[in-house]
Amino acid sequence: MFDAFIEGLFMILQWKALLYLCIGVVIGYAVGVLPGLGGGTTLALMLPFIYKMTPGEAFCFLLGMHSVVQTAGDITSILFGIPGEGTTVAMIVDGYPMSRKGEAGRALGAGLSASLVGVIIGAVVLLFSIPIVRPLVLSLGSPEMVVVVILGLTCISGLSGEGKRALMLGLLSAGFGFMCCMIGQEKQAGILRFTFGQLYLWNGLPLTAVMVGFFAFPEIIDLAVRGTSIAGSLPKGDLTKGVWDGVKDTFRNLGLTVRCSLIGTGIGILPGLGGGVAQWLAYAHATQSAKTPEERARFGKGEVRGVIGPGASTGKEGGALIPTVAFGIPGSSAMAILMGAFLIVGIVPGPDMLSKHLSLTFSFVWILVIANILTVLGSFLFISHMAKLTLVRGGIMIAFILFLCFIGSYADSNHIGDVIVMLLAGWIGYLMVKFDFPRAPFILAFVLGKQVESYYFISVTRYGASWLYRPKVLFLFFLLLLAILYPFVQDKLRFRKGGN
Amino acid sequence: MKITGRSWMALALMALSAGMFINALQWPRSAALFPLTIAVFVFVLAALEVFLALFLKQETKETTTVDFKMVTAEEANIDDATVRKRIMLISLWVFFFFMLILLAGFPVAVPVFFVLFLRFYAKEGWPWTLVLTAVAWAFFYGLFVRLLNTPFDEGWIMVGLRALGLIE
Repeated sequence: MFDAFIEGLFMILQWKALLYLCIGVVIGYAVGVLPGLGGGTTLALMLPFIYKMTPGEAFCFLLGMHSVVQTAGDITSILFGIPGEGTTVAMIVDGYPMSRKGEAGRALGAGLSASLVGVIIGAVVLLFSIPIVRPLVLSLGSPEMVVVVILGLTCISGLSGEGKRALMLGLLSAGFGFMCCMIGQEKQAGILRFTFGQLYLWNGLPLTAVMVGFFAFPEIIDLAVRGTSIAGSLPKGDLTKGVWDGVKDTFRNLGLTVRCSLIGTGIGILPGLGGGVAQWLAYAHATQSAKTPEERARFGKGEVRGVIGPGASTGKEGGALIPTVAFGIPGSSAMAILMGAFLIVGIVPGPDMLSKHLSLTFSFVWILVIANILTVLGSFLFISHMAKLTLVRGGIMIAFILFLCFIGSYADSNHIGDVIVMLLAGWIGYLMVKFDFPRAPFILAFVLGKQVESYYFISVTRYGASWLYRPKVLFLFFLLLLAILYPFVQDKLRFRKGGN
Repeated sequence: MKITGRSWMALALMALSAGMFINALQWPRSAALFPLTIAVFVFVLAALEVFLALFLKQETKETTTVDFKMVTAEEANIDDATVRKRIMLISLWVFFFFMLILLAGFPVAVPVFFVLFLRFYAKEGWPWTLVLTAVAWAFFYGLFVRLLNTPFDEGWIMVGLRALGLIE
């Protein structure tokens, strides 16, 4: 195993892989800083570029890019009070007041260094969890895998909305995702399903085109409706002042940093919770660390621990890779897209990642660490220049995003059909956003659909109805029941608290 | 009783799942097992959503998603008609870009779209329009044409002209 660990390091130290890592980091950084562009969107936009890469190079590029998005998103949250990413909202609460107090440099120093510590801790947890999850994963058969996927989708559906009908809407989205993935030639009997006589549809809907349309279109329409630049007006001043004080603050509060990193990692492991939840929980824990009411009152008004907590929650990056790599269950929509990348480079996530492709799995640990070190160092050097990107006029941004959407989806298979699929997926994505259907369950179901069908078919064919009574399956069904009941219990508890 | 956009989407899903169920009945068991299961699941959930929306009292707490939120007319300080107009306008530009690709092919469509979009939609001045178009085209040509050797169709106009014998 140690050999594989070292082999993983050498895999990314090759010049080509390292170059792709640097390119990925630069793109991820730009995307993280830009509030209008999501990490998931960019990950989807970049999928067509990995076709000619080796698996090691492809993951250096994509994972390097993805792992720095939140760190960079924190910068926008701190400087402008606008979340660079949907997952960096909690950083605004204390980060932006610090900027307004003229402590932007200190806030950035604290946020970035806490983020780096968080990622390293998450990567270490990923490293040590591999030998632990390996026997666990290998003991799971097809019936268990079916229920694990259903459990993951239920968690994501329940948590991707608020209100009594959120779970139902999430599950409907997931069901729709499954329906879309059934288009094409079926594997077992070779039957053509919903191809409408079109040869193009035999291979099913193209993953890249669907994802590009789904994520980019609503953001394009949003930019067009706003009619402004992404960030709007900015506070001016010396952004780099006090950076080292912030770095020292992180190490003065090392206990808090480590605890918040572990919270982030734990949330990352659980499918469906995502970075936003991780940041808020870490922030909540940071406020709990206040010993006196006076200390507590400082939170929300520019307290540096309110920046360190959410910053350190980036441990989720390592955590989220655990279910993706070990079970083939992506913990978030970004991980689902990353899983699409696995399939593009010819690797099936799941047990094989812990045996056949172990060195590749270990290379993820190194990618997370090296990408974030590069990001933090780069941030300290170029922070004020990068911030200016948020002032690029909306019209220019739309032109480039549209261009990337069209060329990105076409380059997938050099077929104009992919562009049409991208446009249709874009409109469906827009309608889903408009009518509050969560997109994450759809994407996860669409990505996992073929795998689930295969597991489901094997389970029914091999065990008949008795697959439902296997002990592990029953245990997973119990967890599934808890996941279904959770939103209702949570609502009741909130109601009681409100009543009191 | 009010049919909202969400209810219409649920109704559409009901129709799709019903169609899937009917089709799947004609397939062998291995191909039909999963579609039948999913079709029943989606139909029941969609029907429940429509039923709740139509026949039950208003939700005490509005259901919202933890997802990207579109800006509202209020947040953007504009009226609903302007929002609709802007959505319509950007949709037409997207359609225009698509038609341009179909008719002229990517290598021509990319610079033409950039010039027209930046000049007339984004209202950029000519110098910026030309510089940004050159950047986009250089990126397109350098990466996709030279580096990746991506084959691009030449577009219906060229195909038509060739069919008519007007060009070689």
